[in-house]
Amino acid sequence: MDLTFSDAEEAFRSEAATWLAANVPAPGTLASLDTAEGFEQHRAFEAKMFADRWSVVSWPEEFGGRGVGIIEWLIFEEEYYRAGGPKRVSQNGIFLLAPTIFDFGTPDQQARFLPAMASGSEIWCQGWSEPDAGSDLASLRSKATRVDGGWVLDGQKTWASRGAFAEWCFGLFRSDAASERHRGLTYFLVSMDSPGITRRPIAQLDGETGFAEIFFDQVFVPDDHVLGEVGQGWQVAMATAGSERGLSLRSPARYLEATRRLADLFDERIGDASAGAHLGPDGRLADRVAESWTRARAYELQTWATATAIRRGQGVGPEASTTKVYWSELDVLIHETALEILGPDADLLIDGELSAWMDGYLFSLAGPIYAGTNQIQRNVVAERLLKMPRS
Amino acid sequence: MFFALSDDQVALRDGAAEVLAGLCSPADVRAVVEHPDDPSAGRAIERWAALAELGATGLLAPEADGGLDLGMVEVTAIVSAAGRVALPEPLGLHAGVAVPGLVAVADTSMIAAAASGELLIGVGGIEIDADGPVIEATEGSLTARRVPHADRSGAFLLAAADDQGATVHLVPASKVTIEMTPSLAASRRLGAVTWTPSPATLVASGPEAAALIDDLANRLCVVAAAELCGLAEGMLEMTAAYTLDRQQFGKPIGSFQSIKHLLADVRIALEFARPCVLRAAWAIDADDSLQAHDAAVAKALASDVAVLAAATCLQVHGGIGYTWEHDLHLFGSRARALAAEHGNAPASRARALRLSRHA
Repeated sequence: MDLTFSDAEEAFRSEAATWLAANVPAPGTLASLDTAEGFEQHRAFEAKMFADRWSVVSWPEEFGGRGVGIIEWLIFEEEYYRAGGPKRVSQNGIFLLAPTIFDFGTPDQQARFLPAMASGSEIWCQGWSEPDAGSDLASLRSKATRVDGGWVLDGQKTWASRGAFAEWCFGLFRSDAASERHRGLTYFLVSMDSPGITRRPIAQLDGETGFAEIFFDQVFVPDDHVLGEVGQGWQVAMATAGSERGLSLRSPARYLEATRRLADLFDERIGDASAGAHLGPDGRLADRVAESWTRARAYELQTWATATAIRRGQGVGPEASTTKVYWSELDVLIHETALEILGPDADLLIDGELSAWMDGYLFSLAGPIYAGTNQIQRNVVAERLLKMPRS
Repeated sequence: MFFALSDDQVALRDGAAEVLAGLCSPADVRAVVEHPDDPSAGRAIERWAALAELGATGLLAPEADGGLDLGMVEVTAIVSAAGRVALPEPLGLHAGVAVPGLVAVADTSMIAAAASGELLIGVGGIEIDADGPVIEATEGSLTARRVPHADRSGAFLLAAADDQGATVHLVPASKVTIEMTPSLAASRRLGAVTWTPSPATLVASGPEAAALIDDLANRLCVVAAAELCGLAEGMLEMTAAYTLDRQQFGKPIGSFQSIKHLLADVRIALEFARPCVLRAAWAIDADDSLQAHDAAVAKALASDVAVLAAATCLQVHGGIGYTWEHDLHLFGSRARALAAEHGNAPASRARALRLSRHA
């Protein structure tokens, strides 16, 4: 056991903090990521990060990273959220697709796609879910037909985050018409400018258009945009799912910072949250603030344990499913508690915008749904960690 | 940064688990519960000797006194394994709290005997609430309530307070009166220890005593948290196995999603409680600035997971789990009792939040 940081790690932390302090936009200066204006503002910030090699610190230098390990990546994330860094518009690419390209992509694919993804010049959306294939993803029906030099895609994808604005889409298609379930699928990288693609933005429950339906009508994709082996799409996709559910998508620093803000909110509006359950009528709320804090700390510590396992070459197993449930439900707890502290005023718009807490609350409600619903994750935990029988 | 048990620590834990698998069956725990006045019931003497042989009782004692000179990380690893089988004896209190207490006050008369397991040391007089350790100030005699295995302890490390502040005393069993106090979690074998502070028993006073009490309080939280995680793990394993055997509607009940989701919630809570215990144990060993904070976090998470496990595993077992005949209550009652000791979950998390904001 050694939970101290080396001098080099501390120096890395201080270099990151210095850069972030000078460059992170002040709170409220960027429009919502789910608007055309906000999308471009966030993209511009990604470009700035990339130029100074802070966008993807754990990637090899040849792709725009710093080649540092997972410990430094977590340190960077801590500093990013402490500095109030904005949501990453490139997250589908850098956190979900990139690990798969590193594992399965050809050298040409890596050189072609990774730097552009990290600089924000090409934003990716995910084409997995279909109208009739949500939790039961393996029932997907969008198909790929073999033609000279590539494939032709037909079908429909939905709930594609960033799909309204993205330049590229990664998705799963059935390339063997006779196949069923997990077999006969292939993983494709598709330019959203391809002829035959129609995207229809879907208004979310907050009225903004963060995700989209994507229709594929005879869309040609060249052979060199197949990721991994033809017919092996499920295995390739599950590698991405592991990243998504694991620690790369939602680093703990985010929840520690949100909980600090929550405790500040309680202190401002009600009193000293650390008086806890003993605080009379407000004790239940104070207890939830305290519970948010201890759970955020627990998530942080479990992440360091996971990072240690990764560094020892043990990888992330089905434990990743526990992580996804934990952070998504923690996020809901934090924001629900904030709304309860704010009371009915939480519903009011401020200069036409949702309050940050309400915006965060609505976003938190998506957490238990995306990246595999929490019900599916609980099935995985029961079947793979507790060895309970498949239904 | 290396946040995991080393190979040696894993081997030590697995060694203890193997000893306990052989000597701490549910039938043994039940025998302790049903024959509270028989010191050999449920192989208690044999089991304690085997744990001592392994070095578990002297993990924190110096090598010169026959100890292993290891740390709280090793203590919690073994205590978790003990929780998994609902070990009746207060191994965590003895090895993780009392022995380092003796070492801290430089008591030379008892360390070797305590390290070897021959002399069981009880701990009492420190209650912990949302503000931290609380010491009862009184004149004349004091009563430390709920001291596990009080009647089998040869001496007691007890906290008191006088008009100068907190004090710590080391009191031989011959100088106290003990009244065993039956409780639902009967394997804990609690007793009320009544004693009178005197210059002869005083081992720490002033700032030294205050610091020692803070340290002992952190240790109390951490060993309880480790045991609570172990209890939760034991109940979860027992129950997951039951869902494979028990058939309803023509299939194992473990194939139903409603049952899977109940047990998955326990597994998820455990996944996040365990690193908190490990961090808190390390913080004590490293004299880290977050030791009180992390002890409170660990106690909060571990109390919640153990109580959740007790309730959930009962629900999954159904009627059979509600019987005295079934072993589940041997774990469940112990989990609920320990969750309430040394600061329950709400008090512990309030304490953690305070320490994080007003340190």
